[in-house]
Amino acid sequence: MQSPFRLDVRNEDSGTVIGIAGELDLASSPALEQSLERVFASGAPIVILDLRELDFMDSTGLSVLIRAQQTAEDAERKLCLVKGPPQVQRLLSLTGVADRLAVIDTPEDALGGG
Amino acid sequence: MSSTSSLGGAANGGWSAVYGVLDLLAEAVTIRDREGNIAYANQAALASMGFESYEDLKRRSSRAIMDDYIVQDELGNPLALEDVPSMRLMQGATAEPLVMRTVHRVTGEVSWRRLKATPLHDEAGELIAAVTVIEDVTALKATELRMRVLAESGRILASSLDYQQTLRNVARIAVPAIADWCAVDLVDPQLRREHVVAFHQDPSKVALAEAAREQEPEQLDPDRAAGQVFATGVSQLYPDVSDEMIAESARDEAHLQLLRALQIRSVLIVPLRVPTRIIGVMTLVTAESRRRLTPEDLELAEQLGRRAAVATENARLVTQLSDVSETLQQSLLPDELPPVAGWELAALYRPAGRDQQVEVGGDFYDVFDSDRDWFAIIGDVTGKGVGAAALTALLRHGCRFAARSSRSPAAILAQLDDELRSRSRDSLCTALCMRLHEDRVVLSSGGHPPPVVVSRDGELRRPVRSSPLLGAFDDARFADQEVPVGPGDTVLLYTDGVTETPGSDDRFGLARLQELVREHAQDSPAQILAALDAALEQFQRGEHADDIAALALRVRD
Repeated sequence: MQSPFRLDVRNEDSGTVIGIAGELDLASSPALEQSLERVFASGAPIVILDLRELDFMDSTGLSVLIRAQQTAEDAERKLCLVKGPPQVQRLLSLTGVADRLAVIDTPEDALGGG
Repeated sequence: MSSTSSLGGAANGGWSAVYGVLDLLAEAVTIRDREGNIAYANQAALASMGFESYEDLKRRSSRAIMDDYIVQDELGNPLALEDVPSMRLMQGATAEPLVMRTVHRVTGEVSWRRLKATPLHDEAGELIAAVTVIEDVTALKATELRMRVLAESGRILASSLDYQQTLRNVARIAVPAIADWCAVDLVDPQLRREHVVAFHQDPSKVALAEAAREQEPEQLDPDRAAGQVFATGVSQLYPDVSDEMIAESARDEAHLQLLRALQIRSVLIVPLRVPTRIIGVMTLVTAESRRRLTPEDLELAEQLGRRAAVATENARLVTQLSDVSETLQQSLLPDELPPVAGWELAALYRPAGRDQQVEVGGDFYDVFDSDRDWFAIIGDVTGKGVGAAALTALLRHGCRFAARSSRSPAAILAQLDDELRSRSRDSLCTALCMRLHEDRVVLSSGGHPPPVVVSRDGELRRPVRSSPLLGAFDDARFADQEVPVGPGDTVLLYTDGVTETPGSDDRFGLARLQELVREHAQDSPAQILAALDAALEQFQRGEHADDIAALALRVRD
């Protein structure tokens, strides 16, 4: 069974971690988008999207990540992705997103050891 | 006292005193003697039957009085004099209280009465009379009817997205509760009417009404009743329809005959109103029931009309939207695939599930030629709806345009990528473009799932090199890749809707797709896609939320 979609936003000293669990698709993408908007508005210098608990991502979810990267660039913030399961990683590399976003293994890699 | 009479000719002072008391009661009371005649009726009973005095009543037999009315029980079954409780008692039968509806044949007035009869015995125990207390329950029944009509309408109207069915349901609520006939016409701003329904409980009468209606013009006459209701939104009630009125509304002799055959008694017409405008009219007619429609009926019909109008409008909007999506979707896909020398082609397209019926998907494919080269493209635009559809149209036609200046699939994708990036950040798309030769294909993928290539003997190959998706990155570079093919080889292009089709435990996935293609390596493209369609149908659990598109191309032997 797939777990239900869930967002878990955690503020650390040096940045904000958004943990995404479940399926990121047409239905759930708007929620992530709104969450990202709030986090960018809060002024966090580093935003980390933790994909480890993600079961599935489709092209809608992918487009949210790409837009988030563009927003981060414009606002001079840093956006990182914590590596997800194989299906998600395949999609990221097939579409060229993996080459253009900072992909890390754990949130601590970007938060300076937390 | 004028209203009193002797009971069986044996009156005494005692009876007179009793009658005096009974006359003061608000309830109607009658006493029926052994001969079955009404021996006494108090003032309230006389008034309810329309008599000034008992003497007036006495001049007519019970049967004749009953014949002044159309009398039915609560279920609409006709009642005879013998069914009246006091008559039953006098015939030695038992008598339960009876609720009956009376419609006066001349005035059309509708009343509901509850009759409760009690036997009266003499000292010897001999039955001498039956006393009936008659309660007027007309107001109670009217309220009950009103509640029932509104409750039923709420339920039925919410149940269908087919507006014609919705209106047929409305007619079935109105008949026989309010009237004998119900007709609904939807009217467009040019006053053209779409006759949707004419309903009567008796099907042979429906035919009669249809015949009468055929004589009427296609356009609503603004000077006539229905036209005025449509124009002004003000309901009309014609409690008493005279033969002159019928004659006036008849178009010719034949029409007049048909109208007369309908035996119209009363007519009311209410607008079908949505917040912004009026979309039609509902006409209710009483005929053989002889009921005279009242302002209360009009008000109830108006409420029913309002509900019907909103339900109809909703249903029509949904229908229109799905029509728009379907048309749009069709314009994004080729009507049929062109013949390509040396290749055999088939396509599969399944739009997203039913609950997304007003959405337009972003999957597309096309096969076209440009300067003697043949190209196939398949793609998936992010998002749904009209915006995605517009983008899809741009890509499909942009691809043909780009192919005129370059025969390299990578160059074609680069042009599309440029075009998308010049638009907005929301314009993202994965696409795979492929040039066809008899011995090879040249392809470029912009973030799109790579094709599955299978040889005639089931050997799988999968060119996996991919460039970034289109519309996302300023630094994107696209590369061509050459894949040799031989006679009997099949190249399957697909969108991620295929592999992402959800099943009960997992997604359809690439492994199942490859296995299916391998199993059908000897089959024609149409057969492969039919097998794929069936496999997805069987695998899938729940609605498919995403479009599915696939293009199978096989090198001819």
